[in-house]
Amino acid sequence: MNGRLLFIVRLAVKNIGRRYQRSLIMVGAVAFAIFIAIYYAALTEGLLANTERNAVLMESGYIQVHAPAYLEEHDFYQMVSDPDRVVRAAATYGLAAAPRLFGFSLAALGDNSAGVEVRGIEPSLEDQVTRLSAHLLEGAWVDQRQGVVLGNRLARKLGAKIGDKLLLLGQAADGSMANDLFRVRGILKPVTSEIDQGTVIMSAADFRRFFVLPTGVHEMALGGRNLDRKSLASISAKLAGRLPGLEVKSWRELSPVLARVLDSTKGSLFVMLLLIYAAMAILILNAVLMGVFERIREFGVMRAVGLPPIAVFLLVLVETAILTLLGGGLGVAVAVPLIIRGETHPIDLTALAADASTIAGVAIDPFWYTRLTWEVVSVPFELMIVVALVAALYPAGHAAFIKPVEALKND
Amino acid sequence: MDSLFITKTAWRGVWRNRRRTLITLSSVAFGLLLSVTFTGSADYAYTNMIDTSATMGMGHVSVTALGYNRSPSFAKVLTGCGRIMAAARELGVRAARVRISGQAVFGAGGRSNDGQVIGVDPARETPEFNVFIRKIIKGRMFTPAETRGVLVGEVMARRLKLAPGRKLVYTLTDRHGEMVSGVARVSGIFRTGVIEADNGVVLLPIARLREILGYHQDEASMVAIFIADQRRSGPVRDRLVSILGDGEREILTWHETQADLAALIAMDRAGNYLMQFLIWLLVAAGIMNTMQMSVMERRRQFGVMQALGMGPGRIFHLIMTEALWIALCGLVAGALLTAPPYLYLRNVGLDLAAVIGTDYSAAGVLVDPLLKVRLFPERAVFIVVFLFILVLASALYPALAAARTRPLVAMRHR
Repeated sequence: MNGRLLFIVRLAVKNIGRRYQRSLIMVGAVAFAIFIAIYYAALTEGLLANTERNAVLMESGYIQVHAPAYLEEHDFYQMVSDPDRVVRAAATYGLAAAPRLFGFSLAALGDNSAGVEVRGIEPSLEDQVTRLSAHLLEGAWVDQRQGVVLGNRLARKLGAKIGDKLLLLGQAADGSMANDLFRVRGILKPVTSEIDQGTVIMSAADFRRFFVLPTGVHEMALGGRNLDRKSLASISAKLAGRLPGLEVKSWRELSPVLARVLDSTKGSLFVMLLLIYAAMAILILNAVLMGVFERIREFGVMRAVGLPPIAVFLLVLVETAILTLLGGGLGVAVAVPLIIRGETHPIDLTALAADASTIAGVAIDPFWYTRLTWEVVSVPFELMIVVALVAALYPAGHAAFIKPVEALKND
Repeated sequence: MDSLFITKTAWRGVWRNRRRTLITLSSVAFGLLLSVTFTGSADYAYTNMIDTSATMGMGHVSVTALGYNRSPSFAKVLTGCGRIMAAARELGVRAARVRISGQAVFGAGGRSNDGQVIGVDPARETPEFNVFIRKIIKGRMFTPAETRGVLVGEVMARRLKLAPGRKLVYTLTDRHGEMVSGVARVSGIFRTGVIEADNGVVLLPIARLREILGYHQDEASMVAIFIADQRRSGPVRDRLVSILGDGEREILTWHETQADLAALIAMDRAGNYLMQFLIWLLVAAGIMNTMQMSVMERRRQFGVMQALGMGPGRIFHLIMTEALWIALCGLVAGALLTAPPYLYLRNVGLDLAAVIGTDYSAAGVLVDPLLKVRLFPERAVFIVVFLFILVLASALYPALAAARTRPLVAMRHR
């Protein structure tokens, strides 16, 4: 059987070479289809990774710890009283933990004013969990001397520029009126609609002074190393066991809508692949079928000299498989370098979209980066082989059941 | 006579190999089905989001004081609202509403939250043009008699522990930058599903806000204008500009006031059209392939034709006419293939709630999980024109190859 298969493969290769013009057209079509499929998959993957990055590495961290009712009510007085315990627990899983404080106040600058959420952070710890400090549109990160950073839409609403003095007015923890001037040190790029539209970030020390809140934190954000879906779930479950009396949630639980959107976009990618391949399948079906019609006489001769129908059937399939692999290889060879380039050179859509937009509250940039992963290449490639072989089934069957006598009459 | 001959010969040429032609037609029909559903479902979703977004505050077209859109504040006062309303009525728009809107801080029982105030006239606001009234889940909209009523979002209500009847304090800066505050009692609670709105938007009676802010009767933040067809936003804006004059106020469409939605739509549309274009390229590659094969098979025929005095120009014409037939038949096949799913999606729709949920928002607007289609006539024309151009373009090379057939060589060919 092996010998016979080898014979069929050799025959197939010869046939392909003999009709190189037709072969080239088919290789080109397959290469084109798989190029589109892979490149599209890489773009989608890039968009998803970027959105997840904006959500996790810019805002939430992978896991958050709060006092039990805080998430529901955002109650200023519901605090994690012993943050060190969270830091120690996080450290056992190799995670860093950054404390955060939240309070509301009115921000005023000239004639403009806005209600804002003030966020107090520990700059050195925050840097271990998020990359917010490197996500500045202009200016510099918060300092310990009343220097604050604004979300970009808030800055626009207030007409704030670097160096402006911002008046904050709020209610302190002891019930007194809190008011003070802060200097605008930086403005962030788009992150999430919450941060963009109404957040003022300052150092935890400034926050504690302003709101008269000497101890406790509202939120501990955990991160510092990459957690995939599985380890995210298992670590947050284990942390919950180690931190009784506190609420431990992964970003997937904190932003269920975003998590679902990211998942369903992956699903729609698969639908897209199927559509591209349906178009490709029709093309292959036609090309292979035409090839079979042209060679009816040839197949008749093969059958007449004793080749069984299954061998003719396999011959057509093997020819298709070889052409598909060649085309697929070519497509991959063209797509991969372009995708690698696209990881650092995004498609610039700023001409189309002047403003940043959001999906499920998370900013999406008007720059489309590609992202190369094993699945981006392997899934379209494997699916393509299946689709090509399925498309070739009918022509191959047609060729297999040719009646030698009639075929020889045909010219 | 001659062109009739070519048309007839081309028709026969197309159906010389029926199976091949049917497969080609099916690829054209498939492309058409995809284009119509992609374009139609996107336009339906965009229109839906634009209309919903309009009812979240600023309408399809809005008239505000200069600079309000970039940094909204109570210091930017729009005057002459009566005249603007009259102009809107003159244009026959669906509705126009006078509103006051800006940032504020809200407090209740020692808790506070930031957000956006929208001052509305309870005598005129209707659920149709105000999503917050449409989505009330507890209590009801305040009546014109309730000058201290207030409507708050569900998330803010939870965070401030509010329920109908409870007190809410709001603090804002007036037209001179002075801090002022007011007290209201919760009339109702709404839930839009968009966190930014449910945790941020507060509706107050416009009369009460005018009092607190020191606005006159004819003053407000904006006139929000609603039209039946969002695609007419630009023309309506232009006509308003010509009636009201430019320079002293800002007259903008949703493109500018909801820039993030416009950006999202532009990006989504770019991706959508790119996808369609790529699939059509595959269809074109298939057509070119079959045309080329059919030309190669018929070299002898073209040789005979040329030998009988038919010039290369007419052979080119013949093949292009074949392509025209393929495009026409493909269009018919595509229309037959597309009609049933299109009608189903237009009238019934596909419920995607299980996949994307009912609280998926993009650009701060809730996305309707019901997939429906709506094909605008201009898009249908574009798709058909595109189909013809594509099919004809993919026939160019085979037609040239056929025209260049040399009779002697071709007739020897066997």
